[in-house]
Amino acid sequence: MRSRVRELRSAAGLTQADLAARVAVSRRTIISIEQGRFDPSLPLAFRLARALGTRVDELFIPDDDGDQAVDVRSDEGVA
Amino acid sequence: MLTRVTRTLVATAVILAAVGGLLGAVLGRDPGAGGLDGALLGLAVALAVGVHLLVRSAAGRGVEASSPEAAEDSVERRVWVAASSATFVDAVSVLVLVALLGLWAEGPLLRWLPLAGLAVVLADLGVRVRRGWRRQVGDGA
Repeated sequence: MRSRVRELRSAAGLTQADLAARVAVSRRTIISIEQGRFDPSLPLAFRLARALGTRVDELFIPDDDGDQAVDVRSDEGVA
Repeated sequence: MLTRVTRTLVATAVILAAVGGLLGAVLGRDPGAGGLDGALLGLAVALAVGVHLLVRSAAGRGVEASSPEAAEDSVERRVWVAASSATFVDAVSVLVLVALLGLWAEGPLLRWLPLAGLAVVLADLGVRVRRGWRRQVGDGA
């Protein structure tokens, strides 16, 4: 999963430590999320989105599952 | 704070006394073991249980427990929980194997078998923590 955490954090003028403190996790957690190594839990994703003034679906972008999910829904609709 | 510590100490003491008394009573009746041996063994096990509970309680209330690294959503905590969960299954298998081998083992092998099992489980945990750390945090972080 790709994220725009680094981009939006820099735009907001926050350091990794600032953002970590705001969402109550370690700085290393922010680093790992920005590097795409660590997928945050849903509650953390919402806290990050709120801290960066955006929405979860604008902050995290699935690599390829998004299209498949849409296909499944459209298939169910047809059936 | 003092009240919580006191409560923990009292609860630990009660558990310690109960476990020690129970084990001592059960083992003391064993024809193969003397009453004193049974009571001493019961006390030793109860002491181990007491120390375990005290350390666990203290770890849960210390400064480290409220640090960002220990937060539920932090990568450090997730690496640890994932490694522990995976190790638990292996630990059960090792325990079963040690128990089965213990039925036939004799002499020094019987004495060292549990320690060997413990070493395997600890090594397993160490490897899993290291692998999880490298995957989710990386070497340079």
